[in-house]
Amino acid sequence: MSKARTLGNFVSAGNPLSDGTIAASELTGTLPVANGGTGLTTTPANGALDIGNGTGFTRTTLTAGSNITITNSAGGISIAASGGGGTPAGSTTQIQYNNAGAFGASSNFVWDNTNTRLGIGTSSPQRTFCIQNGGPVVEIDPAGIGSADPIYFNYNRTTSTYTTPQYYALAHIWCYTGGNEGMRLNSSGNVQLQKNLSVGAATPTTSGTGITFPATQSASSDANTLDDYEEGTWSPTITAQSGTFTTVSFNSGVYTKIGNIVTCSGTVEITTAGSASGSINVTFPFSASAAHYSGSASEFNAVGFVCFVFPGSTSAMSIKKYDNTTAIGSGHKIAVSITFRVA
Amino acid sequence: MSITKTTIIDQITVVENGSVFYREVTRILEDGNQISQTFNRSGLVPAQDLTGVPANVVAICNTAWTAEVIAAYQAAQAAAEAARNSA
Repeated sequence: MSKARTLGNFVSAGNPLSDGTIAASELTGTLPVANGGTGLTTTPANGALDIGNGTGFTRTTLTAGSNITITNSAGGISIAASGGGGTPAGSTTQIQYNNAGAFGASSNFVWDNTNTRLGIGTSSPQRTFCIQNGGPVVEIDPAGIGSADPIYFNYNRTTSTYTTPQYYALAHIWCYTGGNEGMRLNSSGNVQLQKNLSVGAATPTTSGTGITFPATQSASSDANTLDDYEEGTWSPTITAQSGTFTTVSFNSGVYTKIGNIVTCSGTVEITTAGSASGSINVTFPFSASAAHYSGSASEFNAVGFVCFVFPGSTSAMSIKKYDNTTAIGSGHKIAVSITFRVA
Repeated sequence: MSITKTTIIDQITVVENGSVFYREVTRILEDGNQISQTFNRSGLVPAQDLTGVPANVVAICNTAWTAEVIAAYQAAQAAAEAARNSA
């Protein structure tokens, strides 16, 4: 049977010397530092440590500094790095990156701090931002940004305006293909092409240089849009108002169509007039918009006289001698030229 | 390397008064790739002689040039001639 004992502040309900256990109720007061205690009475928080302060102990938890994370738990302290520090990989100027949890570096990814140049694909960038590669080096994929333009030059996002760069005089934009300049937007805002321009998905000409339109016009209703160009030879049908020619031909016939305007010319050569009489009818290369046009014609081989050209229809013009008599005659050669608007 | 030349009628247009316009395109091909292209245009009015006209154009003309179309065109021509002579 146990018996309570009192010794100073020490009260034992049983016999601590024999049972090895001191219950809270068996002890009052605080064991001082000098006697091997802590001199503290507070309940320690999770992760709290008793740290000597010169006269006794301070009960506190650790405080994390930079790049350190401390997690206090009941009976434990976890200390982990949270970034920074370490030994750089690679050599001077090489930019660090996360290489599977460790610092990584490459001679093809550098920062030249002396010249303030960034290099990708090169260890010695020669411009502020230098990319070098054996193949395509930049991919701009506008997918995901709707119809927005993928590239902005000199764009002020705050004011949503494009501003003139300070290096305006040098602000050319070049496009090279195969090592040769293909296109330039110069500092005055002009576009300069070294080769050809095609519209409407037309195949650019492979001879000379110029603007290529589709072989079949894609007509525009806009009054300020040039939507067609075509040139070629012209082979009209030559008939007489009455009767028929025995031998007639049309030589050197050519036409040029610019937008909706056609100009054509050639020579009616009457070898043998036969029964033909009245006006000479010459079909057009295109249908005219209306039978309101005029041209010029003259017989220059057999006799020499001026003719007049008058609307026969929207499909053909008619030619007579200046005095409204027939211009038909064997050996007559009549040069004709006319300009009209197409339907 | 082979150079070939092709000539086809690539456009045939019939207008309101029955006239038929067609374009003949001549292409020069090098190994199948076009290196040049030229055009020749002609016009045909209703009822005219079709000798020498490409067959596919003749077929269009024969379809378009009904008796009514021919009569209307010739009447219009006669009217225009009469108007000019009376001016």
